[in-house]
Amino acid sequence: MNSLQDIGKAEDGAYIRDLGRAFGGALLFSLPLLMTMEMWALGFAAEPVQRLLFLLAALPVLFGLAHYAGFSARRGLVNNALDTLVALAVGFITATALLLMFNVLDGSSPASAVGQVSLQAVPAALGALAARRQLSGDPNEGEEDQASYPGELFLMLAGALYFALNLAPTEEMRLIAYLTTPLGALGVLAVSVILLHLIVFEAGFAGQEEAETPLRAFLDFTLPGYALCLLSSLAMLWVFGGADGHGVQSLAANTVILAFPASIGAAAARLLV
Amino acid sequence: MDKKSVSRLQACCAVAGCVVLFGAVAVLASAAFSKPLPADLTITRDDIRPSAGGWVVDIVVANHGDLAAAAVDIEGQFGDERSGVSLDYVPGRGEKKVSLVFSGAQKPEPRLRVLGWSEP
Repeated sequence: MNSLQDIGKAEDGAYIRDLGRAFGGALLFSLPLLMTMEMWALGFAAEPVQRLLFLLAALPVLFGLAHYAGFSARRGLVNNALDTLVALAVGFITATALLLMFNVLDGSSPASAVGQVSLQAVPAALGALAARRQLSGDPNEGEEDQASYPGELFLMLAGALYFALNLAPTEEMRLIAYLTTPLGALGVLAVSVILLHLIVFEAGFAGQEEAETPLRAFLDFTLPGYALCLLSSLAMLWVFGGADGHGVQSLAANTVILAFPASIGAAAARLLV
Repeated sequence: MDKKSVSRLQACCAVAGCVVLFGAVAVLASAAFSKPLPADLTITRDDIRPSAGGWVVDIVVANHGDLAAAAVDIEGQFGDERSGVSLDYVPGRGEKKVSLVFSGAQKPEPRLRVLGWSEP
């Protein structure tokens, strides 16, 4: 009995350390957004359905990250689901505590307060799940090196979301899109695709994909990866109200501009997760 | 892959996460599927106090609707003097406090009104 109790205590101790890493990761990833004025306002200015869909759409992404990274060494369907829920709890606690500390939490209605916190809790939960990879000091932590082809694309999506989340709510992204000419936007698109391909397959980053030929790698990973960057950028613009009232051309320019940091994030996904 | 069994602490933390998640979804879904009332702003005077530049009129702008109002312009008029202030946002069911300054010697009793606002 004593040995069972000792094992239980040791497991709890290890899990508490994992939780500490999760909170560290949540803070590391979400602090830029927690100190962004536009994110505070979006909590009550965005439509409730946008805030709700953002939270629900984040669940499968968080589950996937729990599988490939996670803040603990435990794996399996049940453990991944539990890690996802715990990461969300960590995210909500971190976001609530900091918004209260900064005195920017809007308590005028439950929907406003919950909307503010949930918008911040999702990137914090992303950070909590990437914590083991980032904060454990062991570069071999994580399952991303054993990812299947859909898993590779998922990791690129996770990296794209992380980078773009930090920039999507800001007014500066809209301003850049307004100032950029159509030719400039095409240039940004080309640079995004080229950089995505170069960083992942040619620059020698740790964990870069070993492809048979550059052309095959371009068709298998770079193009689908950039498509995911465009789709995720469009989705984030919609969630953060950046797509409202825009014509097709203006919306395309906004999407391409946001997809530029998203493509850097997609390329560097292995470094992040 | 390491498939350790679920510890008690992990299960407790996951239950907390579940409660938080369902609570947030319930609140947001309730707001998403109800018909929100448009922004409806009113002004009430809170205090009038002297200052180095004249008089400061503290006012409270309240939004009785569910939707937020953006770029809210407030104007106060006392005699020939007008004073104005702008608010970035007034959240739905929320209120913001602002101040108007009047430079006259006499204590003002300004006529206050909301000039307009926009959708966020």
